[in-house]
Amino acid sequence: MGVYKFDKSFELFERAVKVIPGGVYGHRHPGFFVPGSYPYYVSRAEGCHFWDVDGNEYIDYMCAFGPIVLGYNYPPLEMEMDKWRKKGDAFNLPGEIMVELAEYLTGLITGADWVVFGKNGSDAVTFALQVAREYTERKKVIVAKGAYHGSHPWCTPGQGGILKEEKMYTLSFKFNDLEGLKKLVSENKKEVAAIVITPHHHPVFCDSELPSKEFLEGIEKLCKDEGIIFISDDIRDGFRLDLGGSHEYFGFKPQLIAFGKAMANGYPISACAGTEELKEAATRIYFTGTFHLSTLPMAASLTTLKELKEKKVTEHLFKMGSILAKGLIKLGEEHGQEIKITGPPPIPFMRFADDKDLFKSQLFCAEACKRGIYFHPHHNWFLSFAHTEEDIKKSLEVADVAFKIVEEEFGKK
Amino acid sequence: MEKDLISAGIFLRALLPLLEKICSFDEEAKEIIKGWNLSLMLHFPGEGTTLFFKDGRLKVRREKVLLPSIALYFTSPAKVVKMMFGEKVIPLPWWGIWRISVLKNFEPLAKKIEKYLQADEEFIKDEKNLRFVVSLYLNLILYGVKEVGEKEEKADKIISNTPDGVLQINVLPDGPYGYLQIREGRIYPGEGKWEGKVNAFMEFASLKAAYELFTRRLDGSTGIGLLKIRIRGNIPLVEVLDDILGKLPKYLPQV
Repeated sequence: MGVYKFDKSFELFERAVKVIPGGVYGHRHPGFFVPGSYPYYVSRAEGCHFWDVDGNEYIDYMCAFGPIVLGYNYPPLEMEMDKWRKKGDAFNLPGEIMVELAEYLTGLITGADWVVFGKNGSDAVTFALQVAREYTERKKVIVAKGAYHGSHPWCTPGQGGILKEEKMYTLSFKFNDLEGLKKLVSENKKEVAAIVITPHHHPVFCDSELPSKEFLEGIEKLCKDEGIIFISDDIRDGFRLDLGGSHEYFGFKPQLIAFGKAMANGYPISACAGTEELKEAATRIYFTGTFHLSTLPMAASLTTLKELKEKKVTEHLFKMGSILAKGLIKLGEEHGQEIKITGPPPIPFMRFADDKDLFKSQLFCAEACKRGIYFHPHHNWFLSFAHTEEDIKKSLEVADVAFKIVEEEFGKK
Repeated sequence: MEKDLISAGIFLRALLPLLEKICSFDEEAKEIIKGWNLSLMLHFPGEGTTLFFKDGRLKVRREKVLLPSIALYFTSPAKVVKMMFGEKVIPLPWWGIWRISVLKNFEPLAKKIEKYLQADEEFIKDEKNLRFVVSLYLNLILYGVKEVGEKEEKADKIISNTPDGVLQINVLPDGPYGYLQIREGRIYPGEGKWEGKVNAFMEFASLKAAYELFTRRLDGSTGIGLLKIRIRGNIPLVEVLDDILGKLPKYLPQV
């Protein structure tokens, strides 16, 4: 089994750092992977495969960090989009497709009476918070520690350029800790506008966590009793667990729900859906952006959502995710490693049970990547409709080699 | 106020202690301290550092001591900062005034810090010299990060939310080495290799790579992508260091 080289990626990076701060920014920066064992730049993609600028081919388990739910260049979608491209994209006014998509989404998402559109997850979650603040006339927001809600100042995990004042109204508690949350609310009586959670907790660098029934029921009651708006940040989970929204899958009732990623198979669009009582407050938020109303992503979203429904894609994602997880656990055992997989099967996070610092994960993923399987050592993975049992079989063959290298380096557990 | 306190702390506990290494490396420095058998404490309200000169060697303790031979007292951190940034400030030698003649030779000794931190390209062509300069910078960074991390409100919030752990910093292949232990919201720096479990590594591919980063000729993001810096293990620990390291220059004189 050959090992990949990344010469062209490195050459490109050397050019990039001269004209782009850091060469690549945000969570695509090489430092978030294992530099030297991962490509830095991509060339093209098809199905669940992509090729880097050196021509190396990968089976991809990141799906562009979530958006690709049907597969890259999914033919039925791209054929439809070819028709839309002929009509144009950015106009002075929204197109009819905006109304059609909003009608479709409010019919699809459990509890949604209206919807607005942005470009990124961060837009949608921040809009939701603004609606909550407008409605409640309160300042504070409570989020779970380690949760990612975007790159706006109130929630960014970054430090650069952020004033402490911009984060002073953002409070945090431990996910699933209902008592801790209640205490925080009581310490900030009548000051909390919103509680924001992701349907399941998926921080980077550590295990994912499913919500307990008591936790979700407790938040609902707490929000109702205290006049707090319950926001579900469904950017990462959305449409991978349940087409009605992940709150439908886990069984809770948020008043505002943010979607993005999988809703248009890679076309840039996000959305915030809400209940009737918040609609009037939503009209008072000045929500706009240069490309917020472009029509192509809306058309892509409508086609994607219909395809997800027709092809029963979520069932496929659960099935493929489960096969992959079982295969990795079994291979790990064969190499004397206890593998821990957390999160729902369509969005799993893998680590070695005895290695919280992720040394083993970094080596495992690096060796897999150098042999054409694109796992991530620090972030949850994503499955898509394009993944087949054959792809997973090939991936496990490479994982076997990577586990062997981990065993040689670290020994059995 | 916060800024002065941090800058003054860096001067006393990160910059001044570099003299210990300089006095064992630099021939002129060795000559200056020859015959000095005394302790010199520099301090301002609440904080201090003491230099022990004995038998041609210097040992530094990053704390105040009882009854030093000479005690130089700055009435405020701002006074330390003024001196650090080149303004003339006369500290109050409230103890050991009779040995003050030593102080006239202390200034040229202190100037050595600047000389090595601003070493010219010719000087660092020699690997021995480059290793020495890198070891000074590493020391400055380890202890400077502690000052910023524990005293700056914004940085303190980062540190207090960081789980306990040890970050080992290695310059490959032969050192220097250093580490930062974060424990219960405090930072404990040290030279060499941590003997227990290390949670994260930050490794420089060469002395030159470390020198480039330490002197800000290279930023961390670029260095990682170019494989001049390798990070592994608990990456959030490395990110904490990077965040605080980025704040350090604003508290330092432009050496």
